[in-house]
Amino acid sequence: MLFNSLTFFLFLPVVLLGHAVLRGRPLKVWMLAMSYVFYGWGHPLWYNGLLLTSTVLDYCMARLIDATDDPKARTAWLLVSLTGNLGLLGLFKYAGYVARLANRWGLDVVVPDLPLPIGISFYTFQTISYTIDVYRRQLKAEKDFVNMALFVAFFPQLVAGPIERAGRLLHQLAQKQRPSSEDVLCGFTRIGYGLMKKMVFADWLGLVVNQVYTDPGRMSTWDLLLGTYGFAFQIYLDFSAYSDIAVGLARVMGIQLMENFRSPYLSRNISEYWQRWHISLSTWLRDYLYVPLGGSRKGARRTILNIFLVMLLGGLWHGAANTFILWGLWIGLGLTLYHVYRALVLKGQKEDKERPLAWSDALWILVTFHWMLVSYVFFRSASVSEAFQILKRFFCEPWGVVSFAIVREDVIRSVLFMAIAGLAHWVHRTGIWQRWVNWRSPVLTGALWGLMVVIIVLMFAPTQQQFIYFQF
Amino acid sequence: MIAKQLATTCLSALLVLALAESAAGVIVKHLQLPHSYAEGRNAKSNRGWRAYTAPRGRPANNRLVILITNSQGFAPEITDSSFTYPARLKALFERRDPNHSYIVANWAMNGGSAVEMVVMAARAAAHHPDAVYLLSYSENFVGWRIHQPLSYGASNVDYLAYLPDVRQYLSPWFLDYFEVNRFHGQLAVHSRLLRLHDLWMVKIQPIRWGFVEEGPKYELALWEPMGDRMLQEFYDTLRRGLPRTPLFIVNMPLNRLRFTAESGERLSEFSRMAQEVLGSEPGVTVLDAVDVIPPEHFHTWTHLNRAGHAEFAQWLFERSRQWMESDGRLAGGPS
Repeated sequence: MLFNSLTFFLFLPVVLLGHAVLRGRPLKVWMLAMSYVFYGWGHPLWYNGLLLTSTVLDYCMARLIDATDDPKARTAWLLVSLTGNLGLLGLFKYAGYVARLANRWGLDVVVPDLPLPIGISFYTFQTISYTIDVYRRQLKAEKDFVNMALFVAFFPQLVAGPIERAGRLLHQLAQKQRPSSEDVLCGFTRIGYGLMKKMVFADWLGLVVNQVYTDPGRMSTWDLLLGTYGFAFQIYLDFSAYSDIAVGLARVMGIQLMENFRSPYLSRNISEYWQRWHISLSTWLRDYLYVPLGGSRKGARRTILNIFLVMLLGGLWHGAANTFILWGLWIGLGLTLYHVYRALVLKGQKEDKERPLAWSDALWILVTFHWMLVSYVFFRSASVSEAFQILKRFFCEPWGVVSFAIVREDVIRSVLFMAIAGLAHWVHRTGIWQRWVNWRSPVLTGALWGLMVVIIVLMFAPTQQQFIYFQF
Repeated sequence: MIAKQLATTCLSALLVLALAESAAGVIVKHLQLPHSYAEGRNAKSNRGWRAYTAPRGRPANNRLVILITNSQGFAPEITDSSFTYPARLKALFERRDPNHSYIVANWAMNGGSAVEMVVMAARAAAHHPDAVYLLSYSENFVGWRIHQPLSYGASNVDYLAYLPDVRQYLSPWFLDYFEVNRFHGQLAVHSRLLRLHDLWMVKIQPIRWGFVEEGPKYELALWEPMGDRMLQEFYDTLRRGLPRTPLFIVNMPLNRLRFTAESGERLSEFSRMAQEVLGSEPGVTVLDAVDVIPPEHFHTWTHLNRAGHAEFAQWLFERSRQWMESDGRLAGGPS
């Protein structure tokens, strides 16, 4: 079920009504049932079957790990969990890719044609983190299956994150879910804000981006530039909109989810960018991959190797395609260069990533943004060769006079929307927006809701597109 | 406490919405929308027919002819709408019949499909014209476009289908099959805000027109049974509102040189099928104009140049004489 669909607008009041009326265990059962309805909409058995399989597996493995002090047994149960989870993910997401790769190497392997269940990467990582936390004794295994199942299936963040940790979400779900009036008002404001970002800005930009990247060979270099800038803003607006809606929905129900974005395009270096973009994934990769591999504790070479390995897997997490691998490696290269710069120029001193922005940061912000822009060419292109063709047009060929194959109105609107998104980015960074959305005045909050609805109704894009991160 | 605060917030939001709705109403009212009869062609290349205006009361000496057609009438390559065949047809009508003033409404839609043409037929019924012309060729009545919901191609025709005075003529099958029951569509008819959105959205969605002087020969899509169904649907829709008004179905001129040899044998398929499906219906005249314009008077494989428009207007006028001479009415029809 899509957040920006009429079905969801009928579904949500039903869920909230049940949430307001029920208490205790019936409330948890209700929320669990509604989460399965949400996820299984259109594919009830198929999607929910996989979700339940993953839940049962980790519920059992975590209980078994928790029940023994034998390190070998604990490790064995963890491996069962990892094999099961990653096996499912591998089967649905990577089997086709591996088979095609094998065929290219001369083997004759049948390419499986399995439909990718929406959000499988998100909930798989969430359940894995739970089992690992239990293994590390950072968490006790959950005894109540309903709590555990609700932790995995909690509908606001099930399909596209944030990838929550059991330490944060599980105990909130297990306790009373009683929102304050501030939670309800702020939660709905956040939902409206997310819908506005998605239905107006992301979807309009998406129309231009799709036009450009459907047949880039026929586009001028200026079109390609517009499409690539457009995609940078589209993917941010689209994905952060989903996170806004998820955080808002959860807050309406008295649950606090983690923030997933903190003005990433105003980062001063790639390392900071990666701490502001898709935070739930970057911290997951840090805690469950980078740090266990040794992080930066085992010398420069090992640090660089770890960075590349983590970013390679980060790329593969997005999808089984060479373009995503290159996307990850490009960011890995950026992170490595930044580490080298820090070691040689800054002499290893740590930067305060939270310090306020200054005009002197502008150059590094632009460098960081444009480094990411190159990565988006890989991310958005249909193939590696297409990505290199586009980059060749940017860097090796004359651009010619300014001309667009995209109609003028689309060009103007795209530039305008990107400027607004950039301004909103800055407003976020200053904290002004947080003060607005946390207004306690119902009258002002209501006016803000009304204004957001007016903007959506007046400006929504003609084609409502699926959230980009649903495919991951 | 929560309920009270939520109620206050919602009231405040509703107040803002009501204010915005009122403001949008004022803006829409003062927008200079083209009248359904006024524009000689779709000059700004907008996708769809923009005129929503309700039928006007016409003076007694006024005659209204509605042409429902594709981009061949939309004529993006003609710089002045007075040179299009509808404009020339009006001049020919008025020269032949100086006692009447003629309105030839050029309801041309670039990339128009049969689905959209059926809605325009319903719109035509609401205007009570003296004659209706369906000018098309087989491409508009076959292929993927006639299997999509009406809303698939962003156009104002989608909006028209929700207007009560148009919708009353559309069949339940049509409304169901082409998904003309969307929540947004229903709401757009009643909300000035959504109306403003639709006007703005369509206005800023022009089609970039690329002229193809040379290139590979065009392959005409094969006729399919759904084309028969759409022809029948067009006729039935029109007849629900206009039981006796003359309907001319014209297979538009095509540039034979620009089609493949195999397609060349099927250029008249539209008129042939129209004759088969609707030829025996009262008040229907099927005409084939495929070869009436020489290839040098085409811009592309379908679009006429200025000379082509003049020739086609003359050809159409000569075939409309009978209708004109019968005072625009079939025997026994409404006065």
